[in-house]
Formats: sequence, structure tokens, C-alpha cells
Amino acid sequence: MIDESLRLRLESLNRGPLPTIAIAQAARSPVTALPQKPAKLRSSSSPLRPGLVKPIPGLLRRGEMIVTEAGEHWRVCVAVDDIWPGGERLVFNRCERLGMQGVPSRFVSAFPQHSLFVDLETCGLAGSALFLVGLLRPIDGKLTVELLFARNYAEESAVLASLWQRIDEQSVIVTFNGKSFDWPMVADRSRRHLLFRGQRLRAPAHLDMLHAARRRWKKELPDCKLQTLEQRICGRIRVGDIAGSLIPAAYKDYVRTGFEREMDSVLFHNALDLVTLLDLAMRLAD
Amino acid sequence: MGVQALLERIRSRRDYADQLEHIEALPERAGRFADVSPPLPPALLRVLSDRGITQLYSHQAIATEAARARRDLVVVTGTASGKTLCYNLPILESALVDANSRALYLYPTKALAQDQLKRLLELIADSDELRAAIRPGVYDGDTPTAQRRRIRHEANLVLSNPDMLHASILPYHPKWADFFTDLRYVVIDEVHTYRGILGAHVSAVLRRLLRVCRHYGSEPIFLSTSATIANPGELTERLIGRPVQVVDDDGAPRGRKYFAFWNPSPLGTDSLARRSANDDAVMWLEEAVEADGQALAFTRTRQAAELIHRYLRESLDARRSRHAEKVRAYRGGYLPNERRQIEQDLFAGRLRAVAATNALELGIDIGSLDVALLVNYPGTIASCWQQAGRSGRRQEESLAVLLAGNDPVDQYLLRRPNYFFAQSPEHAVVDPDNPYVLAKHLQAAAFELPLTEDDLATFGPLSGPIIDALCREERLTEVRGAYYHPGGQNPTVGVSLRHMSDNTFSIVETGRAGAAKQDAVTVLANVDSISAPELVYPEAVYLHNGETYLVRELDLNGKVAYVERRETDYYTQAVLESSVVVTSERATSSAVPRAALCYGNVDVTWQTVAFKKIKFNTRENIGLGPVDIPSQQLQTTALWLTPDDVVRAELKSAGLRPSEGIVGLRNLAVVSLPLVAMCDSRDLGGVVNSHNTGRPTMILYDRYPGGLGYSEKGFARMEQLLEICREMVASCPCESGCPSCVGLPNLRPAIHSDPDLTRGHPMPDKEATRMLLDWLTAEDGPAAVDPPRVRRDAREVPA
Repeated sequence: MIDESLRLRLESLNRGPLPTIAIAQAARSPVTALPQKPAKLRSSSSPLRPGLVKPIPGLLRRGEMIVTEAGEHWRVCVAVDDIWPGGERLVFNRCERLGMQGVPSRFVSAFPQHSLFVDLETCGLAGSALFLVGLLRPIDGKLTVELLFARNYAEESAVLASLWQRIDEQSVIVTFNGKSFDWPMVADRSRRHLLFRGQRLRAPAHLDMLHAARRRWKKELPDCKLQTLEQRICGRIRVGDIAGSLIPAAYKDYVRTGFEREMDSVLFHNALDLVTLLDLAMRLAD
Repeated sequence: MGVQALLERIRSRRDYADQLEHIEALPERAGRFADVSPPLPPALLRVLSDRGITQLYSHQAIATEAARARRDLVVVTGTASGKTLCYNLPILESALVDANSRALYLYPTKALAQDQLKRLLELIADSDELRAAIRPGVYDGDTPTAQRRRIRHEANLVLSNPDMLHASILPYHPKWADFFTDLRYVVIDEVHTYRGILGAHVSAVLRRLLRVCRHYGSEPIFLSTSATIANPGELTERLIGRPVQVVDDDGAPRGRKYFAFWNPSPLGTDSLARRSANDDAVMWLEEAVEADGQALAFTRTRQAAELIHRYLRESLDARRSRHAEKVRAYRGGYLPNERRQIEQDLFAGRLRAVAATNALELGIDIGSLDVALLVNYPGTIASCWQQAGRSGRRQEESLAVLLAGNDPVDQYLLRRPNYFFAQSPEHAVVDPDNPYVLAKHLQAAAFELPLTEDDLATFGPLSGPIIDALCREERLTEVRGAYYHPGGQNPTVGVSLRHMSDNTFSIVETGRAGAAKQDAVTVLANVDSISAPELVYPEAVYLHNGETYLVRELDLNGKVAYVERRETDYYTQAVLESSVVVTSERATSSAVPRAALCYGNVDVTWQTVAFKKIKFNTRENIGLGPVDIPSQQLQTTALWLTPDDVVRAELKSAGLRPSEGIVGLRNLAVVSLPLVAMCDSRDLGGVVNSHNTGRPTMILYDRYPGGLGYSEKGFARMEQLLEICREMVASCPCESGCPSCVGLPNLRPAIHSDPDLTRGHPMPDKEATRMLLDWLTAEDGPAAVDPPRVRRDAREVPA
């Protein structure tokens, strides 16, 4: 049940014209200007302890439209280095070192060209739609967070179609709790949209970092939630983040009103989850 | 067992005093058979002939052919006429010839699904070919999570119920994508149970099912079965939204059947009160088992089933009968395993007599018995025939006996057996267009797949405006002409298809007195949470299979009642208090000039406030104790009507009691409102009280949390409602009230009570009701009500 005042506000928003989403190229500003951190913090931070991470304003507007056989959807790309300065080099170096040492790690052998980090944002509990498939993969040789975003419920199938385009026989999916949540959700929603009518769904190799994280840190930490690991293990501190439990309602409001600000937070939240997942995967890679 | 021999035994008893007031002989009938062409697959024919089935009854052949021709159908044939094969034959055939064919079976209860699973497994057990092709599985609330995935993926016959389909299958349909893609048949067993509130919900659930099937490219047909009701075809058509073929030409043979009316002899002291029908049922069961018959007694309450069983057992013990061990009670609340055991023992003939509630009325296969006793009128004509149908051999004679209770309705039927045999069974009413129900299911449907223009035809003419309202309430969002549910939680959570939630309390036996609670606990039974406070309050004596258990503690939060085995010479009876309190008025109307008419919110509460200790056999009241447990509440909507002072004064001066007139009106309104509001009278509650308005007031409410618009419709169409009531009274040929007019028995007994201890409801005065209705329906008051005035003059009554 929605309370009366909120209802009145949303109704008036709903009656007004929807704010248009600007064309991507025009809005693509240089990302190096971000984020503006206090000097002392910046000086103390390193890729291994990045410290405060502030949101990127106007993230949604940086995107562009993608056309698939299942329709259109929105896509926003952010270089990993913009969110985690120095992180990309750190991960590459470590993987190279482990590779030379002959460490038999599935992650290392797939990284970077075949690894695909995946994290979803959904409209709610089981049975609900998904509206964002966040990916982290190399694009043109640079590790990039690629956010496949449905601007409304009708674009979900196009988002899924784009996801499947990026998966091939050699792909290794990397997730956090994805074996229980993200991947069954992708499978269900793909079946729901009849994307593989009459065929079996592809089942790519899948590394779920939750299990490795539990094995490694269970004894030291109160829990092994991603955000706990992010703070305690990766030393990354979020500012102005949106709580995961508020995301479904935020998306519902966005679809109704077209107001982007909360969606910027949601996109950044997802991008940061992916960066932390990369960070954790690197730390767990031996 | 010969029926005549049993009747002779009864008649030659020393206490026989012409209680057999009427015996109707229903003629025997030869079986009629037919073939299907092309014939059924050889493997299936072999399995059938192993069970002695070498020919199909004509209705089975017709049903099989119709299903092969992809026609929706409903089979309406007698009990034990082989209805199950009518849907199993085409489904098994389909599974044998097409490995991808799948079927969904919907049963109204979990027990029925289990029973049918067992029968399917037995059927295929001896045939490798059938075992390889037929993989049945039950998918319901009791199915362990670990097995659910396997059943979704592997079972080709999925046995479930509408509640499960609604809340756990349809909302997660992508997990069932393969199943829905290959779904060819949907069985709706006992379709007559889906009327009123449940029916309105189920019709919406079936529309959601068809929509999901279409999404995955399948178009299953519906194979339904129904007990005898007045309108099985119409009911099924309204439920599924498509025309159906009615298969009602029963080809099964039937032995001669006798239907007897038994009126317990009057007690000398009071000419109106009669011996207890329960006691006479004990006598009947005893005579039946001693005559080597197998008998079943249907009681109206669970406690009555327990008491009859206990007394029967005592009586057989006393005469050292070899059958003493072969009698049981059967009722809701027994654990599934215990119920299965009783059903099997009954089927195998190991049990000779069972006292049961209507839990045994639905189609669980217990074979056919010699004698069915109806202990008190079960409330509807359809139920009478359903229960009477439990006796009936294919060849031999069988007997059904209605043992009349003290209620006016029972006595009315006993006086007029022709009325009973001429009465058609009740109509089942279902309204697929109830906006309150649709609003819930359209949200669920949108959660499953976005609603589009095409769906307006599926969900009927109101669906457009309802979708509009849901969008305005931000429950749905439009995107490019389709309506989406924003997600969050599955919208079926908290939407029950039935009156009340199906939470249950466990009744747990603890060790002997003094032992710690945690030692040796075994679950004995369960009870629905609504009626738990009437059954297992502290210090209650809980009867289970004739034995007495003392309730030590009722844990309302943990939903557990702790009982211990204790031999007592008494049982207990809850004293209930209930009230209907108007909480807010939503609208008033001047449609009835001579009455105040309102619509609004009410709280219906009921509570166990005390209990009585009743000695077994003598029924002496040997004590009273207080009970301190919280009340239960139903918040719903209601209409209320208060005749004004002038009307009441007129009735009084005519020598009539206004309150009786209003009670008569309530009885009529509960029956006639379903005609206006398209519900079942069981979906309504009706009371007459004065504490809300200060004057005697009739209150009619919806028996569903939040209401479903039934009383609202009655409020909006009160003139029509009163006119129907007036008609019913005016056109009824009875003299002073009968079950067809002012005295219809809507009032269900509390299921945990002994009917012998509850006072029957008197038939209200027909004349008072008629005069009240004349006043309420008159355009301009007194002028139109001459006849009562004449009567007042004729019968001078002191003030």
C-alpha cells in the first residue's frame, strides 16, 4: 500500500511529460574528472585499499541505445579504472604472476578474454523481472563495466538477448552468489521470454566467488556478504550508495516518472558490486 | 447383506416404534457398454482387463472419444460409476503414444490428490510399458523442496490443487516452461466444489493457466467430473470460459437401492423432543455390522463422529461382538497416514462400520458399502445424494437412511418425503466477473505475463476498467500498450482462494502425566487455526478415535496444542460467543422507505469463553469451566437493514413478533442474496442483533477478509432482494414456514460440537416475515398492507 502523500506526488509526476533521456555521445564526458576526493584521502589510498568511492553523477545519461533481435535497450559503459584507479593494472599483474607460477586457477586461465563478471538488479523477489544485467569484461583491451539496462519492463528480453550474445562456448561466468540467485534468474527469465524456444539453455562454466570467499574468510568475518568483504577485505568505502532493498522500488518509480537520479545510484551500485567482485576474484585467485 | 433382512432386524427390535416413516425404492439398472474406435492401446487394455474391466461403460467411452476429439467435457455420473477412468483413459493413452504429452490434475483437497496418486501407481504397477510412459507426481504444499524440481522436470502427470497452481506454480511459470509447453490435459475433479468464493477465484486461476499455456504454445483441454448438481455444464463453462460437453448418461449398473426415512421416537417427557439421531445411528450401525453388512454413518460435526464411534464400540464390546475391533471414526484433522489406513481398511472390508464427517463425502475410493446413514439432514439435497451414494453395489441391494434430527428442517423433510425426492439438487453459482476477485488475479496475471488487449477477452468485460483502476493505484504500469506488474513480491502472497487461511495447529501427545513436555511427543492430529480454539482449549477433552485426551496447554504462537492420554467419563463442549460490530459506515440508502439501510465495515468476532463437561452416554452437564483465550476476528464488509418503529409497531399490533419476522427475513436473504450477488450462501454470514443500531437489525456480511462485494451488491439492489424474498414467502404453499422459505437451514453447526447439545434453530414465523416484507416492499407504506390489518382485527391480542 502506498501512502496518500506519496501517491499524490507520484501522480502529479506521472501526469507531466517524461524527461527525455539525452543521446549518449553528447553526454559522454571525460571520466577522469571523477571522483573529487579530499586530498588527504586520495593520498592515503592505493588500489589495494581504495578508500572512499563516490558516485558518478549522470551515469545513466552517458549511455547509448543498443538494438537486438529482441528489441532495444540501453547500455552504459564505465572503465574499471574510473571506479577503481589502478585496479586494472593490479589485477592484470597478479594474474600474469599467477599464470607464470603455473597456479591451476580456472579464473586465471580464463582472465581476461573469456571471463564475464555478472551481477543482476531485479524488480523484487523470485518471479519478478530483472532490469539490469551488469557485466564486467574487456572491451577494446580495457576492463570495462558494461551495464545492460531495461528502460522499462518491455526491454527485459532485449537485455537478456544482449547478455546471451556476449556468451560463447569458452565463456566463464564469474558471480557472487550467482549459482543460487543470478544464474537461475537469467535462465528463468530467458525461458519466460522464449529466447531458446525448443532448445536447451546454454550452461556456461560458472565460478561463484561466494563459496571461495566463505572458505577463505568465514572465520575472520561476521558474515560473507559482498559489502562486508568490500569494506573489510578490499578496503573500499561507498558514499551515497543506495541500499539493495530499495532498488526494486526505485526502479518502479523510475519507470513511472522517468526521473534518473535514483537510477544513477542504482547503476553505480551495480558497477561497484562488479568492481568489488573483480577485486575479490583477484584476491581469491590462488 | 440383504436390505430386507436388515430392515427386518430393525423392525423386530423391542424398541421399534414405527420410526421407519418412509422407504423409497430406487430401481436397479443394467450396465450399458460401448467401444471406442480406434481401440485403446494394447498395454492399457491389458492393465484394464487384469482388473476385470473388459468393456467400457457407455459414459467412459463417450468421454474418451470426446477427449480424443479435443472437446472440453464434464462427467456427471453416480458415485462408483468409474468417473476417474473417464479422464484417465484419454490421458494414459496420450502419454503412451506421445512421450511429450503432459497432464495437470487439480483436486479440491490434498487428500484426494494422494488417493489418486496411489491409484495411478497401482494401475501402472504391473505393466512395464505403462511404468515407463507414465510418471505421476503430487506437487502440493506438502511436497518436499528436494523433490519439487524432479517433479517439475520429470513427472508427466502432475497432481495438484488450485491453491498450489495459484500461489506456487503460475507465478513461477518459467520453471515449468517445458511442462506448460507440452500440457495437453487439465483435469478438474469434483468441479462442483468450485462455487461461490472458491469458484470465483478458481475461474480466474484457470484463465491465468490458459494464458500461460498459450504463451508457451499449448492449448490444453479440460476434463472435469462433478457430483450431481443442478447445473454441472453451466458451472464448468463459467469456470473455464468455454463451452463443454456434458457426459451424464450413466452406463454403470446399479443394484436396487432403498432410501429410508427414520424419525427417532419422541421422548415421553416433551412431545416435541426426540431421541438423539446419534444414538439411533449407533443402533443402526450395530444392527448393520451384526447382519454382516458394511456401513458408514455421516455426521454433521466431528464430535458427533467421535461420539458415535465410541458408543458403537462400547455397545459391541458389551455384547462381545467379533466386530468390536472393526469400527472407526474418520474426520478432518486425522493425520494423512491414519486417514489412508482407514480408507484402505474400509476398501478391503476389514472395517465394518465407520462414523465419518463429510470429509469422506468427496471421491476418495473406499469401495461401495451396504448402508449409508445420514445422521441429521446434511444441509443440501446435493450432499444427501452424495452421501447416500456411498452405499450402492453394482449388483446387490443397498440402503441409505436419513435419520432425522430435532431441527425443524429435518422434521419438515420427514413429513414430506415427496418434497425431498422431487427436489432438484442445488444450483452451483459462480461469478467469474467479481471485481474484487479479478483485481487480485489481474495483478497476479500481470506478474506472470504483461496484460495486453487480448487478455480483456480472457478476463471479461470488467477487466479493462479494473486494469485502469490498478494503474491509477500504481499497482500496474503501462508500457507501450501492455500492463506490467512492477514486481517486488509475488502478488498471490496473502491471496487465499478460500474463506479463511489454511493454517493448522498440531495436536501433540505428551508423555504420561508428570513427564516433561519435551519427552515423547508425537503428533496426533491437526486442526485448522480458525476452529482450534473451539476444540483444544486448555482443559478440553479431545476425542480421537473414541479415546479421551486432556488438553494441557494451547500454544497460540507456536500453533501447538499439548494433550495427554487420560481416561475421562466426560467430554467437553465449548461455549462460544460471537458478535458482529459495525466499525464504520461507508454508505446509506433510502431505497427502502420503511427501513434504514447501510453498507460498511464490520468486525465479526468469535471466541471460546467457557466449556461444559458432559458425561458420556447420559449427556448430563457435570461442570463448567472458564476459558481464557483471545477472540478471533474477521474484518469484512456488510449491509445492515433496520425496519423502522412504525413497521415494528404494526407487526406487534398484529400479534406478531417483529424479531421473528427479521430472523425469517435474514434466512431468506442469505438464500436470495446469492441470486443477486452471484455467490454461494455459504459465502455469507447473517445475524440479527440490536446492539449496533439500538433496534433489531439484520446484518449480512461477506465471509472473506476485506469482503468480496456480495453484501455491497445486496445493498445496491435491496429492492430487488426484498422482492425476491417476498416472492419466496408468498409463493410457498406451506402453512407456517418451511425450509423452502423462512426456515432454510443455512446455519452450520460448529464442527467441534455435539449436535445433541446445541439447540435447534426454530423455524421463524412465516406470517411475521410475510408482513414485514409487505411493509418493506410497499411503495408508500401502510396502504399496501391491508391483509395483515384484517388479520389483526380477526385475532385480537392484548398489548
